[in-house]
Amino acid sequence: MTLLSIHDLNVRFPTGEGTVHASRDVSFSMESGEVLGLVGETGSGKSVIGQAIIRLLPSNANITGTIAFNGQELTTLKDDAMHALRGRSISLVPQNPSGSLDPLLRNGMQIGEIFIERGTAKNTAWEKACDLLVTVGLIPSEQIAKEYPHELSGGMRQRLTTSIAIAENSRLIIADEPTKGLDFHARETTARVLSEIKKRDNASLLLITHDLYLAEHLCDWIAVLYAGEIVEIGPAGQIFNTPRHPYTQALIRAMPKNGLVPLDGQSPSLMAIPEGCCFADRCSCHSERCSKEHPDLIQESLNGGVRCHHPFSS
Amino acid sequence: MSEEIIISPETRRMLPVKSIDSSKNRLYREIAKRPGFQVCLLLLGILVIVAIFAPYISPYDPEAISVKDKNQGISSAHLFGTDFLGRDLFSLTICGAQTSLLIASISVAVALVFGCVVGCVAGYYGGVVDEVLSRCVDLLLAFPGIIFALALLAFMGAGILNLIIAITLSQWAIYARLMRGQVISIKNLEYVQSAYTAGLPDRRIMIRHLFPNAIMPVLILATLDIGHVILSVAGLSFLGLGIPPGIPEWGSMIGAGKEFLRTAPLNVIVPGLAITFVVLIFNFLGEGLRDILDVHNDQVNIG
Repeated sequence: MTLLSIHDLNVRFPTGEGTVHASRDVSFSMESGEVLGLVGETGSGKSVIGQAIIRLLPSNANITGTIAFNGQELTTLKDDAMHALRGRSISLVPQNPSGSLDPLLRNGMQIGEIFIERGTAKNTAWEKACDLLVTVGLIPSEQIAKEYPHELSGGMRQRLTTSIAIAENSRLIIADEPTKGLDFHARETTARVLSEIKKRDNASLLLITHDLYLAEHLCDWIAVLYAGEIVEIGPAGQIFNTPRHPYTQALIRAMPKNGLVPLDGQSPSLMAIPEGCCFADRCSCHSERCSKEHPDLIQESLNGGVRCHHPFSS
Repeated sequence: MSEEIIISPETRRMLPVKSIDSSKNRLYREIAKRPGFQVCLLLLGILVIVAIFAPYISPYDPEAISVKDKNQGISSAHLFGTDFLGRDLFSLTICGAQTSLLIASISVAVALVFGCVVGCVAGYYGGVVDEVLSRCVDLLLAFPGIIFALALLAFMGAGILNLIIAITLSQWAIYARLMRGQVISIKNLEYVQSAYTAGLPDRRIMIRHLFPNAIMPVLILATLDIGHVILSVAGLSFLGLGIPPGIPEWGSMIGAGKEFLRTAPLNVIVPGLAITFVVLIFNFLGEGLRDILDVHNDQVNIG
């Protein structure tokens, strides 16, 4: 069953110097229990998509397109109804776990207040919070619950914010850069925690990351973003084994295990998007057509598509 | 939930175990470093106890007039001497402490609560709500506080309740303004946004997240302000607009005693020193609190 279906999502931010087109014609859908990874470099519009789904973009953002969650159109939903979904049906694992925890609330209460707000008695809420801490491996949970966020390490805070997001068995969990600023060891545990949570709740996970290692281990599907648009989408195995877009290939070559080959150049400014292919300037196999004509995302099969005039054949 | 433990034993072995070391006693350590602050706390404690138990501690009935003993100097029978009606100045002073502290703390507390609520709402919602509330605050702050209270008292008449109302009305706006600024500065921080993302309602975000994180500077201001309010109460009573006759109060003691300044200066000096002493204590406390709770030298690495 399709849980989330996004069609032609465009997000523009009007600024003094011009319009920033942060997300362009993004379309994808997710089934229940699936993990979809949005990967791309910094500034490729990954987080904007996540925030558009849960409607946290600033009020000046101009959003067009449709976001259907569980058959419900989110872009036109009333504020009250949308707020009722947050935390209960859709939750977000925030980008910066250290800043996302109230410094004056005990760790247990950071989770527990969600239960209290839904009418659970304080003692029961505290016990449920401790159980959740155990779930994400924060042990001894009783003691950690009584402490404050500043007494935890970065990786532990990350797991604490994750436990807040899964407190109410949301159908869709949006994890925005869950491994940002974590060392290899903490990244590995984060990956394990996320995948085990996914198994437990049969929740769908939208993983927003530039950590390809994490994406490879966790995702069923991958959408590669470049300059605000999806350049390639497909099953994770296909993306990693037989990438078709030159940009995807470059990303995979840049992974440490594949030789850490850097990609020259910079992605175009989201305020002045080129007429042709956005990647043409950095592409090794571009032709004249590439700098004139914008490629469409060609869906060849159910197995995804690629936005390139000269895709590598699989 | 407990049977749903899903982290496998092998994963759990990889997770770091929380080391048991915490520095919860930072507040105590900061206070321990400041002997001046400790003395002020001690003096405040004594002052509060004396004020609460004033009727039991005072050696004489503060109302008992004994004209034959009037204007006596300091003696073992009358620690601070007697006033122009022969009342014991020590008893009057400590009963006056009760009046002053009670009025000051009630009006500051009411002003604090009201101002914080208004400031929190204005800062969090912004827009029209903020405009309307902030213009009200600006309007009130345009008057010097004591003149505004004076005008209100002239309109409503003297009396303890009216005095509290007048001072509260002239003071709440400063708390509202400070609270509004605090709330605006923290409402876009990630933890407030996260609370919102978790689906918590505005009411809970304001009470549980904005309020506790924004309140410290406002509390420091309130501590400093208690001294200021005690001064205002004394000033208004001195002018005959505050406490009705018959209730011991430092300002009205000075007002009545000023006729005898040359012949019996203790009438004025004793309550005057009492006011100075109390206001100084509160100022030192406020400044000490500001240093101790100063966020800028905070070692906590959050955010």
